[in-house]
Amino acid sequence: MTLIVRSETPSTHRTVVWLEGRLDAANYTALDEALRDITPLVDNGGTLVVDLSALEYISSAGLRSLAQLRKSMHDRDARTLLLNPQPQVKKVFEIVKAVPIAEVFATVAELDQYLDHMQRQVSGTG
Amino acid sequence: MVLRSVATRLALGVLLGSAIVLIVTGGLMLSHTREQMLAQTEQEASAVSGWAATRIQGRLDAVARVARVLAGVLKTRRDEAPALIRDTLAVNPEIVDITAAFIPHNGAAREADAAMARRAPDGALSMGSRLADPETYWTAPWFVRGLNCEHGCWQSPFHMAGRNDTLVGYSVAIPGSTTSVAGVADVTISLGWLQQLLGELNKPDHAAAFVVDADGMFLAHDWTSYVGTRGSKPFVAALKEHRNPVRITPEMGGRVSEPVWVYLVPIAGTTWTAGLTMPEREVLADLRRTYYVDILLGLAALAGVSLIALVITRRMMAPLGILSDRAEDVARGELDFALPDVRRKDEVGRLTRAFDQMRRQLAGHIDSAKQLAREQERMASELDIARQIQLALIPEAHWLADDGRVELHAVLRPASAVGGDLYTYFALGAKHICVMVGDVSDKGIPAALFMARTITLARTIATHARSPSDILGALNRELCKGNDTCMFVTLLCGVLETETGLLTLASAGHEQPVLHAGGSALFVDVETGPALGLDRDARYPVRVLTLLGGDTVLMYTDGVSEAHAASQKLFGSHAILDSVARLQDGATPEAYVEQVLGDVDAYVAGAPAYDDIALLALTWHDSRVTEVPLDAVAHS
Repeated sequence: MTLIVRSETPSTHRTVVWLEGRLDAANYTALDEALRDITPLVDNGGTLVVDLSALEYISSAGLRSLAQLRKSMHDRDARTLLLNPQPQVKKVFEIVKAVPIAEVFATVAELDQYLDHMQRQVSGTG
Repeated sequence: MVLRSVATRLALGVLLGSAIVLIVTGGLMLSHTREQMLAQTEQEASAVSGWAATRIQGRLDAVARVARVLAGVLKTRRDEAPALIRDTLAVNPEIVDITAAFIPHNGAAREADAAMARRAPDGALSMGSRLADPETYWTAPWFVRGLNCEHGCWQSPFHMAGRNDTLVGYSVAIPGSTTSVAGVADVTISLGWLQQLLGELNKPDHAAAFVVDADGMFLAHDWTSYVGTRGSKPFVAALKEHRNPVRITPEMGGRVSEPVWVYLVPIAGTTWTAGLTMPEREVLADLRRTYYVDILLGLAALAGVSLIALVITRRMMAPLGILSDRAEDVARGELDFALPDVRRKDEVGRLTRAFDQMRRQLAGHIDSAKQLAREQERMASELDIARQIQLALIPEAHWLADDGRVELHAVLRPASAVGGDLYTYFALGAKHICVMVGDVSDKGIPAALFMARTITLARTIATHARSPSDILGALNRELCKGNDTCMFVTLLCGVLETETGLLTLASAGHEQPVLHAGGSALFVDVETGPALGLDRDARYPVRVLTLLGGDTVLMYTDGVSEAHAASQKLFGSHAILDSVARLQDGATPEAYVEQVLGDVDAYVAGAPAYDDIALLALTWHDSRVTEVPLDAVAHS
């Protein structure tokens, strides 16, 4: 099975990327290429949400891609949050911890709540 | 062989096609010309016949005039009849005899009633009477007919005893003073002049002229044997129906040996007809000759055109022949040859240049393919060396501690030449040994290099540490340095106190190990920290196990748990548990490794490995103490 990458940018603050299928050593370069076009759409300080609900499998090579994505976004103060992974994928995240497990959310509501919280912290400290 | 040449085929095609065109147009031309020739001949023949008819008419008119004048004179001068006819005969040399016959009075005829003047063949004139005729003259047909000819009419031709020429008479009724008709004046002429006139006609070659009367009797004919005979049935029929011209063939019953054309012109003032016959063969002889000459010339022209086509085509196709030979060379793989220098701008020129370019490009492609093959060969040999170097980085597959307490067996099986999985073990001081099984993200050369870095760093760092937690922490910080590509390695690290069997485990995002103790296999639940190389501040909790004698710990990478063929389900961690559970207590670590690998190989059934595989089994031997395993979890 192959990997399908779709994206949507409702605002410059938030871009959503949907991954569908398998993400492994055979096709992570396709994801890297797609992300090269998508990440510039996210503002510095914005949020990139990766929706994993349709991702059935992720290998270590796929994890590396996501980790690299997170790192590159982090370098420009943007956040990368993962949304709704399937159980087997979630388990991989939990074991390998290639991205902080705190940045993996089961629902959009949870994710929004987290973002609200983060914003309050920023404004609170600022 | 010859027919394989395009030039020859073209020349033959031109010849054949033109020949067909020539024959068809020739046939049409022949038919058209035939009509024209026939019309022309008819015109010619009609002219000749018409001229003859006019001549004949003039001559006959003169004779008829004599007869009519004589008849008019005799109306009042009957008694002078013998003298009148004699004088008239004397001044008209073309006349053979003249008769002035009267209807006898009261049935008693006198000699003077039927006076006749005659010219002998030698020119001597004599007088006589028609009473001397064997037939009674006033009942004879010529007389009866003459009585009815007020304006004169020609009698039928006849022969006279003592003369061999044909004679013909012109009769005019002599008007009476009291009655309307008193007698008949008859003038006879010889038709010898007619025959002569026909002979003098300027006729076309092979034509025969004739004069025929109303009944179809030939009065004169160039073929003298026909004179005095009747024409054939088709001829007489055509004459009566006034058909002109008419074609008569032997098959129709004509008196001819071949088809002839007959052209007829009526002679005015008479019931006669002048005509010409011409054999059709002769009419069309010129035409046939012309046609044959034309056809011969046409064929000669065609042969010439074909020859020219052959020569031109051969000259134009010559480069193609060479190209064909060269193309066969190309098919054999010979690309180094000279092509003719073609400067032409036509298709042959373009083809030759394109062929040359194609040959060069092909040679280029072959060269680059060879170079690529050499490159690949070099890569393969480099990879082979890299594999040997990588394998040199890991220790022996089998190791037994000096005191015999610890025995382990491991295997590393990269999916391709080199891989990212690793295992290693080494002594930490005299009382501890450290074992590690790891899996670098991704596969291939980058993973192999990262693996080499990891395994080298691990040995260096571990010599200063005793806790797996410290080892992983320090290793993580080292691997995070300059790791922009976010390569990472999951690693399970265990430190075993060889005398006590105390095993401390820490995991950086790695698979749970399997413990086979007391006949049952179970996962050892080690809380994992993040994989190494990603998060500088990561911490790694430890889990401590106390092994009993004969207990075996199996450490592995996801190449084992996630083994699968194309679209198969994954082999799965629980399958590893099942595999281990089937082993007897006291099995050697080697047996563990072989058992699990055997099951994995059987599961994928020969499919190429999807991921690298690393597998390590560690057995602790102690026969002195038998204790209940003591578990403890400590956070470093």
